[in-house]
Amino acid sequence: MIRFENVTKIYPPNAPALKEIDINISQGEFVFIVGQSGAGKTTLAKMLTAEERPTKGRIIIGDWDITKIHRRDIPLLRRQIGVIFQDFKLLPKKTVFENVAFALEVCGAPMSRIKTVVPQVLKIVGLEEKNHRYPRQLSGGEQQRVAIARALVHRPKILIADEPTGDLDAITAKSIVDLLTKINEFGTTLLFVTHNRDIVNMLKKRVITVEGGAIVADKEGGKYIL
Amino acid sequence: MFVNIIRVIKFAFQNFWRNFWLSIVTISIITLSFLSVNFFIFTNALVDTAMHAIEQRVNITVNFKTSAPEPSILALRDVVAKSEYVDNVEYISKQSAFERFRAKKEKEGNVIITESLDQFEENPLFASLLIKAKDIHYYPAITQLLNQSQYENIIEKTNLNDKSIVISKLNTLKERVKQVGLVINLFFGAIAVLIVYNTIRITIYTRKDEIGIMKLVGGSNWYIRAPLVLESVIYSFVAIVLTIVIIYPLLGVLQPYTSNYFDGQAFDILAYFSNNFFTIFGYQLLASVVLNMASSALAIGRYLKV
Ligand SMILES: Nc1ncnc2c1ncn2[C@@H]1O[C@H](COP(=O)(O)OP(=O)(O)O)[C@@H](O)[C@H]1O
Ligand SMILES: [Mg+2]
Repeated sequence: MIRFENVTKIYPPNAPALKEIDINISQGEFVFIVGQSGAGKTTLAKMLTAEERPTKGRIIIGDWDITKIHRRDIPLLRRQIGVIFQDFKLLPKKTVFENVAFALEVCGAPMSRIKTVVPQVLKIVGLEEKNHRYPRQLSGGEQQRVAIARALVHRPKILIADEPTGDLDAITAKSIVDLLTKINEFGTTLLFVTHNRDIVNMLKKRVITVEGGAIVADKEGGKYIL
Repeated sequence: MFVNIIRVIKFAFQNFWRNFWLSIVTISIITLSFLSVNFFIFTNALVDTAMHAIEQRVNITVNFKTSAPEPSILALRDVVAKSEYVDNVEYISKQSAFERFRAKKEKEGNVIITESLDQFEENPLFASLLIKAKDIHYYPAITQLLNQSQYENIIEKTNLNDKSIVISKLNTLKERVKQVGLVINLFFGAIAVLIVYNTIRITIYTRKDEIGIMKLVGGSNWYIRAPLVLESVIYSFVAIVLTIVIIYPLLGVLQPYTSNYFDGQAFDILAYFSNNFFTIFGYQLLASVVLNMASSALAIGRYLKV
């Protein structure tokens, strides 16, 4: 499903972030990417959505080689990959419903599709009752749920969560992890970037450990080892 | 497709309202440049009309010797009338010249002259032809025709009433108006382009979160770019409407002055703008739209990273 082949990323002019990375992730997998701040985890994630391009090596998603993806094809790629972040990235002047609908609107989806899909994804994240609220009227965990709902509107095959629980307390974080696990169980490949030791150790999934831009461990049922 | 267009228009108007004051400033500058262009058009039309009026007054008078027999004079008149250069010829016989002169003096109440006129046994005035050319440039050719030797014995004097000094002054004025107009219009045009560029840049900046999310969720480039270009086009449309709203009352105020200024030559500045409404404002709008699209495209290329 996702393949990194000997990928190196050097930020110009000369800041190496990833060094000769090889990763193979199958469809439907749940993978933790762990490592200290500055290890290169976000860079890894950004290359999947073509926000950054590899300096060397190849990246293949499905049977699509996105290493040298054309600019006009990038939107198509991003519709197949949902992304959530530590800081939610919601629009403060839009309601929950509008924030989620926005993702469909800007892709040219017809109104009828928006009206059916948005309530569906809001139901998945458990926010169907709060769709008229604004982000500031929600807790952090609820805001992250809105972001997850937005990431799901295109029914992505891959969901990337870049430290999604970084700003949340342990209990809320746990509920987000449960939600993501549920989404993964429905078949979405999940890349979970985190440095939350408890979550990693509790779930016993595959753990890829990055240090200084290189993979130092890649273990099934792994532990947080740094 | 339809829903796409509606959304782009919605986003464009959101941009417009979100930076309301900036939009106002941008529109004011574009309006100002439209006004400068229209002032130039107005001045140009005025100078043109003045020239036309003066040109109308250019003519040739041919005075005949008192001895000249009327049939020869009429023959010459027919020759002249047939010339391709001539618009019309008027024959003023000795008798009618006398009557006109007398009538004029009488009207002025000049008793001495009218009384002394009556003393003459014979009519002392010349018969004459009044010739108007089709175009100001044809007068030399007509003069040449009259200077042929066969007419020497009947023509007393040919007088080209050419007003060439006034006309050349007006020509200079016209050139000057053109030059100054060009410089001023270019100046305002350049400022308008710069301000639109800057406005779109600021719009991109104020919407950077939104644009970032559009990109994140795979929004079409169309949805990201088109509203920005459309926003710049909206500025042109609002500005042209404003310009028309400002200009027409002004023309209404000026119209009596311009129509009285050129006696004989009715010049209705209001009618001039109304008759050429679509040409005048259409081209300005078109030029402004093209310029604004170019400068917003430039700003997008420079500040909107994929
Ligand atoms: N846009 C950038 N330009 C230059 N260097 C960058 C850029 N983004 C990240 N880096 C550097 O690349 C390295 C990896 O960063 P990042 O992938 O964000 O790490 P992580 O997400 O694991 O904290 C860091 O040293 C960081 O300073
Ligand atoms: Mg990071």
